[in-house]
Formats: sequence, structure tokens, C-alpha cells
Amino acid sequence: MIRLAGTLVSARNIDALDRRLIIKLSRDASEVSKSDGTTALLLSPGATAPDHCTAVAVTGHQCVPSRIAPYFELPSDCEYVADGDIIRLEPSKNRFRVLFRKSSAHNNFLVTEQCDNFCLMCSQPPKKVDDRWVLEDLFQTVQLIEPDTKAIGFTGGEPTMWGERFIDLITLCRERLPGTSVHVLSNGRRFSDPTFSKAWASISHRDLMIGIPVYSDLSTVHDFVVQADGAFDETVRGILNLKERRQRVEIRVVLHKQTFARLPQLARFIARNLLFVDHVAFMGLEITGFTRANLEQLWIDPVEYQRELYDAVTTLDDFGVPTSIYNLQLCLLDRRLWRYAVRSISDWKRDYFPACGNCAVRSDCGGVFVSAVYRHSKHIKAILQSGRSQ
Amino acid sequence: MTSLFHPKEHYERSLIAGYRLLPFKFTQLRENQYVLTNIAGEYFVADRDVVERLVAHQLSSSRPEYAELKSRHFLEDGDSTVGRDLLALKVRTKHQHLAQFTSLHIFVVTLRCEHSCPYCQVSRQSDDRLAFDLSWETAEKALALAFRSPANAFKIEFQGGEPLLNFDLIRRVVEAAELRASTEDRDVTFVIATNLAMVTDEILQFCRGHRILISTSLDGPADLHNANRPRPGRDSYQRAVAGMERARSALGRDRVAALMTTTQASLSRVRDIIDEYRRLGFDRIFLRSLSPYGFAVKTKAFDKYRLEEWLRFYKEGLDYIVDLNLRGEHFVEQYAAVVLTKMLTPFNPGYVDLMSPAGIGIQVMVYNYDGDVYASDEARMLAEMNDKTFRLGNISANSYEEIVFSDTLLDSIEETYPGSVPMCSDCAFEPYCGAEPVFHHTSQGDRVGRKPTSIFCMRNMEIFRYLIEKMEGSADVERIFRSWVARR
Amino acid sequence: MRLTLDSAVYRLDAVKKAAYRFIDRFAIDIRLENGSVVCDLIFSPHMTEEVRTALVVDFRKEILDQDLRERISEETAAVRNAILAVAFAPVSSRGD
Repeated sequence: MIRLAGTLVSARNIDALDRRLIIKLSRDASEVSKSDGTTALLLSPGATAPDHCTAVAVTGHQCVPSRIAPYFELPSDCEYVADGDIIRLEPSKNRFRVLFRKSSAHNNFLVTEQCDNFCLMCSQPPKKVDDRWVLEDLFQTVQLIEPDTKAIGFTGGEPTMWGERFIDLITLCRERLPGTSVHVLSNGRRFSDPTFSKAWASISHRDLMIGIPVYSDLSTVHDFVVQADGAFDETVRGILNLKERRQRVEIRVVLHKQTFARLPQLARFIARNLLFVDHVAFMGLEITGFTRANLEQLWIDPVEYQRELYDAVTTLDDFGVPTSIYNLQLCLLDRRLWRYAVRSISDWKRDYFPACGNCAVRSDCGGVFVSAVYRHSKHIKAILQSGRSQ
Repeated sequence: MTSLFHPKEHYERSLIAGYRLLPFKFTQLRENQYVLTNIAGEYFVADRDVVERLVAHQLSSSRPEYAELKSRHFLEDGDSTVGRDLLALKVRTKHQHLAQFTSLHIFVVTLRCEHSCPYCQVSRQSDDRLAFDLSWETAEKALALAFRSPANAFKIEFQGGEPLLNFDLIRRVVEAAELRASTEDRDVTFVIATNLAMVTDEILQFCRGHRILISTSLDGPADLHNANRPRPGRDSYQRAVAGMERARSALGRDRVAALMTTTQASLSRVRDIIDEYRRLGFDRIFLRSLSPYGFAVKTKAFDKYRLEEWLRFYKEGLDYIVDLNLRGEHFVEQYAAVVLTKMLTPFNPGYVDLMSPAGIGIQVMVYNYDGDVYASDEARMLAEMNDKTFRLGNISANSYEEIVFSDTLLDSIEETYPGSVPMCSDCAFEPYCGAEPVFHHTSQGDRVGRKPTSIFCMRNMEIFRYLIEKMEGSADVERIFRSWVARR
Repeated sequence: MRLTLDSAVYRLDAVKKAAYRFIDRFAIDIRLENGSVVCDLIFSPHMTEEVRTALVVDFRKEILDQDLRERISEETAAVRNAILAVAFAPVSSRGD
């Protein structure tokens, strides 16, 4: 578990600053001087902040603030911050959020909290709020990301709520970060509009993938899970439009009590109707957001749906659809499915149980969500023989 | 669940208004069980009573069949209509081969052959090259015709007689075709159908250099093969096997394919035949039907009794092959694979005899040694029996347009289209089947055919039923069948 | 063997289509008479009574099946045409 956001320990010399700053951190003073204010100096322990630029330090490192230049002190559990990381500071509210960590493989940017679905298990519950500033900030953020970054992601809410402006953002990614692959999570509904799909395709990004959830082969079940009439039809049409324009699409299926029973039928449905998708990901449930409110409707111990999962995964595999399993622990998975399991839980929300202790396959396993404290399988246990099963 | 969320019933409220049928056909499987197929050829097995309720709009949404029928696009409900878009896409995919038009061009390079197989309709025991060989002048014109096809990728197959007896002509055609293909950015592949008895290193070198596939005959174990294929020296089998080995060494294992001819003698030996294929390192076999042409028709050897015998042969062979697969050995029955491609995927396997509309002309074209152009290989064989009904023209006398737009061809395709023809138009198996105008003309005197008495129909329906029953009976078998046809 | 079917219940077309499927097993003479569809089945002389009875049973079932098929066909004609129109629409017509 990594703390990404919170309250600043202190903030000095901030009167002349904007309400919100997005800055990159660097330990290289000359880079900071050239940056025209977009980069701040990340102080080493014991260092003194210079008077000509913004500085950031971690509390307890015995750094000395400048008397005139802005100076921000992060809590001690933010010791991980490093060169190349990007941070948002709100001096007036005394808050910070680490937006981007160079060392992480899981940099995902929230685009908006608005969404036209209302999934029972939403990990980022929608809010009817005008948060356009979040999207606008991302234009600044993207410009600070170093081009050797391998991958970034955009999520929400529903990133396409802002329509063409979001397309502009991805276009900026193509221009500024041509070597960085981009993954977008979307409910896909906006793409049922052919004009929007066409605009999306015009981005002509070298390595762009959209992850779109489809929860059932039946419209009524999907619409129920996402709590929106007509969502299934729009989502599937969106996928068809995207594939017609040769855009890369991944289908995501969250595994819970409302979706597990028809997994085999969903797999057949995908194999017959959406055979051309680039990837299918079956995802273990994260006990956060709305999931906690709807826990009794959603919770099922993963060991209880292994039969359906095996059937679904092998069906897709039989038809040549690349398939993975995310967020499920190896001790709960049918051994024949281990080869599909991916260590997918983001580092900042990953943990292990005491029972995992001396597990032989711990390093292959993705661990659990930190939110698993609220509900988890009774069957988590260390595996004693070593080596992954085929 | 908190009050922010609607219960499942809320999203099922439109079901009260009932469901709408999507187009489908049904045919009896066995007894009370029926096969339903939707417009894209996806099937579902249900009891007759379910079918009745379904059509009467009395099938309850709480029944398990309801969900399956909705998922597989036999019905739609509520405001969901995306099933129609998906069906349209699948139908489109199934037919996209039509835009490619003729993609198999058969060149009959000679009728001469040193074998004298009793069932063969087309060969001549002769050294008269002038009379029975394809000339370069004619071949050149045929090649020009082949290149008129809009297909980006097509195959040229050399047949005979024994094609290797006119190898020089093959060489010239290959070189000319490759030259032209490279200038037009098209992909042309080559196959030689040969008994390999006369193969030489020089020939194999050439094949290797031009990536030519070899398709050779293997009817089964030595005694069976030799009985079917007499030749001076009575060593057809030995030569075939030796030829295969040489060809494989020169070209690579996967460049040499074997095809069997089924005769009366084969019918009790299916396991032996399959084992022979396995022994020689093949991982597939095409359990072909008894040919109705030539010898067989002349002796009126083709009747329902023969069909039942053949079906036993086929089923025993298929069962044996499925068993091998269940025990971990990948081995494919190719006719089943053609049918299963249609049953399990939206793709078209492009197999001439099972195409709807008929594959004559639009899938395959045959250029005979004498310049006559035929709508299919069967059409050519028929001509050898003095029935030239399906001769489309002559390379020297007729233009491409005259050949391809000939009444013979167009009428045959249009009139026999299964989607419009009695019994076929109602049949649930129509998506898997094909029109076979030449066969029906030959066996019934009518290219549409009277399907209730058609051996082609009976044979195929039984195979379709058998494959579906096997899949319904075992998930493992279904997975095996998938492994034969799934591709990306 | 004669079958008399109420033409209000059994459509003539359905009877004819069903009869077609059985032409390998019996010949048939069909006519409309006083609101009935009258079918005279002509069996081959060597067929046993048992076989004939079984065939008649199958024939009746087939007539019902044909009737169902007609209903499906009528009901789905419009959506079938809509689907095929989309399936075979030229690519360029999709407003790019």
C-alpha cells in the first residue's frame, strides 16, 4: 500500500502561487532552473532549498526551507517520491497528490468522476460534479511525463464524458509521448456514435488500447450490473464501431455473484460475435467504492466459480482470443488457469496476508487488494510446492 | 442493496411486453429433438415443444432455453436490438469470400497416365502428347483468364491424368504466373496433384524453389492402395510412399498432403486406412464419399444401400479419430473440419462441394487439356462421359465475359441456390450445406435435384446430425472439434 | 390411405411442402374439397401396415412443422430483410 495523496506537513512562501500547481520533481538543479517553473527541486536529506526555485522535501529528512521560495513538506510515508515523479499541490487546501511515479508500471490518470453508468461494483463511484479542471490539468501533466515512459492509463468515471476534449488529450499523448503505450478504461457507450469513433481513430496512435467492460451475453443482466438501460446495446455497438476502424479493444469482465454464472455463455458470445477483440481480461473483485455498499449481492468466494471461469477462459483460448486473469490469487485459482494469471494489482494498492507468508509462488502471485480486509476468501493459503503449474 | 440501485427486475420490466422472433430455421435432429439455426448459421438443440412455445410467443423468460436463444440471436426482447447488427456482421463475414470470386484454378495438363485405376474417369493410356497434353498456347490463355479473377490470392492446381508427365508445361505456367503475380502484387500458390510414381530430384528441386505443394494419393495400406491403383509392376503403394518420403525431404513435411479415394473395398477398412496415414506421419485425413461419376454411375452402383454402408464407414472413422484426439493425439478428419468451420465459426472454409451459392465457376474453374473450360472438376469428369452440360466455353473461342457470364453458369448457380430451393430453403442445415448442381444433374437428371431422394442430401444431413450429436453429448468432443477449426 | 385435414387449421402450402419431403417414401394426391385438404397417400405395395402407419404419423408431424415454419417466416420477414440489407451493403455506403 502506498500513500499517493494527503495533507502536506507544511507549505511555505505560497502567497504568490496559483490555487493548483502541477510540477515535476527533479534532483537536478540545472534542470529545475531551465524549466520555467514546471519542475521543482526534490531535496536530498540534509539539503537546503535554494532561493530561486520551488523545492519539495520529505519530513524528517532535516531539509532546510528557503525564506522566500515556495517550499513543500510531504509526510514521511511519501519517501518513495523520486526524480521524474509528478505531483499536484493545492497550497490553499494544504493538499497534495502524487500523479505520476516514474518507477511504477501502474500510472493511471483519473480524467473525471462523472459517468453515465452506475455499476454495482464501481471502485470509483460517479459524482455529478463539474470536474473539468481535472481533465484540463492532465494537459499540463502529460507535458511533464518523460518520453521514455513505457505506459500510462486513463480512467474515471467515464473518460469520454468530455468528448472531443478527451480525444485532444490522447492526441497530445501521441505527439509528446510517441513511444508510450496508452490504455484507456471506458464503458464504450460513446463510441456507439460513429462520428466519435471516427474522431478516435483519427488520433492514429501507435499503441492505444481501450478496455471496455461487458458483463454478460444478455442485455438485461449487463444493464442491471451497470445500472443503466440500453447500456449493453450502446457498449456493443461502440466495440463494433471501434473494431471497424481497427482500434484496439479489450473486453473486461469483473467476476462477482451477478456475473459468474454465465461466464461460459459470455465467452461463447464473445467468440461468436466479437472474435476480433484484442484481449479479454477476467478481473477479481475489488472491495472498494460501491462494492462495499452492495457486498451481499456481489460477494462470492472465487473458489466457487472456478468451474465457470475455466470453461470461459478455455473457450476463448480455443478460439485464439488472448485472455488473462487479473486480481485473483494463485491459491484460489484452478491450477490449469495459472498460466493466464497476471500480476495486475497496482503496486500502490497491493498487499499480502499473513497466511501468504512462506508461499512458494508468492513472487508470481499478484497478492490481494488492500481493500480485501473488508471481505476475502476463506481459502487464501500458502502453497507449499514450488513452481507454477502448467 | 441500497436505494440508490435498482433491482434486477427493474431491468427486466420490458420483458412483460414479450419477445420478438429473429429469423431461424429448424429441422429434426432425432426423435423429439430439433436443431435450430439462426440466419448466421449458429445452432441450438431443443425439444420440439420448446420450438412450438417459442413460435407461439409462449416461451417463459425464466426457462433456461430462453436465455440461450436470446444469447444466440434467435429472439430479442426489450429495447435491445444490437443482435440484428451482430447477425448482419456475421452474415457478411460468411459471404465475404464471394467478392474474391474464383480462387481455385485447375489446369489439366495432360490426360496421359501410367496407372489404370478402375474408378478413374479421365485418363488415357497413351503416348500421344499432341492429342492429350495441354499446349503452352492454350495454357497461356488459361493463365490470362485466371488472372482476370479479382481474387488477391488464388491457387493454381495442376491435375491430369498424371501431371508430371507434362512437367515442362507446369514449369512454364508456374514461372509465367509468378512473374505476373509479382507485378500485380497478388499471391499465387501452386499445387500438383500427382501419384508421385514418376517424381525426380529435378522436379522436386523446382517445387522447392517455387514453394509448390504436392497432393498425392494414399488410399490406405498397401493391399488396398494397390488394388485400387493398378500399374505395371503392381507397386503403386511402394512408389507412392517412396515418393512421399522424397517429396517431404525436399519440400518439408507440411508441403506434402495425401488424399484418399474411397472404393467399395475401403468401406470395411477405415481404421486400417487411418492407421496407415498415422504411420506415415500425416495428422489429417479426408474421408471421402464414393464418387458417383464414371465407373460407379455406369454400373448404377450408387444407391441408398451404398450410402448406408458409407455412413457406417464414415462414422466409425470419425469415432476412431475422436478417440485418438481424446487420448492426446491431434488428428483431423477434414470433411468434418469443413462442416465444423461453418458450425462453430463465422468463416467460410471455401470447400467447393459445400458452397451456397454453388461453388461452380465462382469458386473454381477448370481449364482442360483441350482448351475447354469447365465449371468444376466434376463437370470435367462428366464431360469425359460425354455429357458437356457444364462446359462453359473454350479458351480460344470465348472471352472471359462469355465464360463467366454464360447462361450455363449463371442459371446453374441461381436456380440451385439452396436459400430458394424446395426443402433446402426450410432446412436448418442449409448454412452448412451446399448446392451441387453437377452431382444432381448426374444422379437425378436435374441440377436442382429432388432433395428427398438425393444421396448428397441424405449423406450430408446425416453427417450434420452426427457432428451436432457428438458435440451435444460431450464437452470434450466439442473442444476437440474447436481445435480443428478455430483460427484468428 | 386417405387423410382429411381441416383447411382452416392446416394450410395447403404446409401440406404440400410436407408432402414433398416424403416423396421418397410415398406418392401423394392432394386436393381441396369442402373446406378440407384431402390427401391420398400411395405407398409401395411391399410396405407393411406398420411402416405405413409410422409414415402417416411422421407426415402429420411434418405438416405441423411446416406450419410453424410458415409462421416464423411471416413474422421475421421484415427483420430478415433488414439484416440482409445491412450485411450486403457496400462498404462505401456507410458514410465515411
